[in-house]
Amino acid sequence: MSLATVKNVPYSEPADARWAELERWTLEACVLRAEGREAEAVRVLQERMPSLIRDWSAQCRLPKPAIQERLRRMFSEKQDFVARGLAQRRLITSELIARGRDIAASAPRPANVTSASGAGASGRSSAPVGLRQRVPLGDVVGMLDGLAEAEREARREAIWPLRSPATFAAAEL
Amino acid sequence: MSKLTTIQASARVTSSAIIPATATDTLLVGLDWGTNLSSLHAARGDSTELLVQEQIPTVVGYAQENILDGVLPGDARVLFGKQAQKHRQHMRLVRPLQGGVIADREAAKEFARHLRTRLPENAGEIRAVIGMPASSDLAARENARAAVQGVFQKVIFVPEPFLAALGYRDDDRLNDSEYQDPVLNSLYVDIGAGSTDVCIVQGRYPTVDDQLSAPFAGDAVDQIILDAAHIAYPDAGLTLAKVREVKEKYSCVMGDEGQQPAIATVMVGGKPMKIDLTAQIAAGCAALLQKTFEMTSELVGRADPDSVSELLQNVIVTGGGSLIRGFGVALQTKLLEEGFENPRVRVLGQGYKDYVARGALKTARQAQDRHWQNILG
Ligand SMILES: Nc1ncnc2c1ncn2[C@@H]1O[C@H](COP(=O)(O)OP(=O)(O)O)[C@@H](O)[C@H]1O
Ligand SMILES: [Mg+2]
Repeated sequence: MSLATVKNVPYSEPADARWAELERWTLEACVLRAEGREAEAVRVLQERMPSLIRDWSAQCRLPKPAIQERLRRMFSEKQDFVARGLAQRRLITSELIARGRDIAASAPRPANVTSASGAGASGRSSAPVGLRQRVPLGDVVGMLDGLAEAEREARREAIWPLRSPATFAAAEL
Repeated sequence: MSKLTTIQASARVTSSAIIPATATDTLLVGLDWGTNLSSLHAARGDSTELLVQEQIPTVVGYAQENILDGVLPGDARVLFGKQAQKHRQHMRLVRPLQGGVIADREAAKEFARHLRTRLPENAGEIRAVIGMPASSDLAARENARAAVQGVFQKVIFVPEPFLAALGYRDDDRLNDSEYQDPVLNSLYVDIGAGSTDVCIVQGRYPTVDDQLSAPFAGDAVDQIILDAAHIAYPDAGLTLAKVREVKEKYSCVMGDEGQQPAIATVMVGGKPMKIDLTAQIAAGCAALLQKTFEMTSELVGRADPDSVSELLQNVIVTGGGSLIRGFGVALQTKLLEEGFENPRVRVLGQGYKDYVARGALKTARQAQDRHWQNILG
């Protein structure tokens, strides 16, 4: 899904195409990282960003310290932005999941309702519930923690896909 | 029903005789719930003694409507596993799982209830670690949870390759210098009924990027053989079950030299007729070999280049598909022919059937309270 539609620019910058692209890919890297797709995030940072930064730096006619300051500020703002969106999403989905559980527990259970979060199970998400991070084989507890988190994330994803406008709207709350 | 109840009761006696009848502490279960074959291990939380170790074909048989009394044991309406297979001509056989996940919820529930009868009767709380296909999603877990409701009180779902790696590793020998730890740098190929799963295990649990799964395995081979056989013998009335039986007897990927003629006897118009399925079986097995090769080479391509030469030395093939005669050698040859350096393919053989359940029980022993999911109801 393209993130180009996200028009959140918390401060005003030269309406420069390069800068806009830089922002877009920074945001993409932050979202990839949030999804646990570290390798892809690194690829964006290593393959997309350097040339964009080079081009923009050459065009913007700012002194070097100002360039660095502006980049640093943009990176940290995008990080904060994604973190805020994720925090809101986490909060709201856990509330919805808990409510779903209460409703399922108090209502008579129809034969084909599979579980508390029936909505979640029938949602679009059919991503495998697996580990994103590396866990040594000897660390069974770490593996189980990782799987539990993966299942929670799958549940959130079913109710509220991370890559949805809602996440970006939530970041502005 | 009475005879069936007796059969089940006697099974309980053998298991429960080992433990005191009053035991109420936790029973730990490791379950490999395979499309084709399930493997059930159980032990007390506070003991290393294995109380149950059983393999049960994952099949539920429903008695035909108009069946006469005395035909089925105890005039049972439902039979499971080998019993169901044995009486197949009087039953409608249903496989609760397809491609490793629940496809028929009612049958899955029946099967889970049957598993309960294989465990000690007064088991107290039962906690089960259940293997799931690496590619399975949230919905598959929800369905499995619903199926084991009332059978297990607490569950954890873990991807099968994780459990296989844990089960395959011999913990007692880790300090033995002679022991080559099979999970330090290996590529596992699991060819089941519904899916072929390939994953890299390099001292850590495979991440989603370290694994590949395709819905092409034993069942797909059966279908290829059946389709080809229909063309050659349109009137032979072949069924998937028959094809599978013949395949398991004659499966082979050794080319003309190693291939035994695969002759099946079928009934045509009430008379036995011999048909030759050698070519069809060879074609089905060759397709599986090709698929396995493609998946293996794709995953090798993803691995860290520094680890590849050692990885290629430890290609391990498991699952029912690995019983195809000559499969390991053929895969190795194909890898070599395609330019992979010095590959070595090992086949686990019949022993593969226990690794997942064994790993599941190991996992159950180490799980913390926060990992166990309550099954309501
Ligand atoms: N000797 C054999 N040759 C070829 N295929 C076999 C043989 N034995 C079993 N199979 C096939 O292996 C598959 C079952 O493998 P298994 O690992 O038990 O499956 P699952 O893990 O999906 O339950 C079936 O398709 C079965 O026909
Ligand atoms: Mg299996």
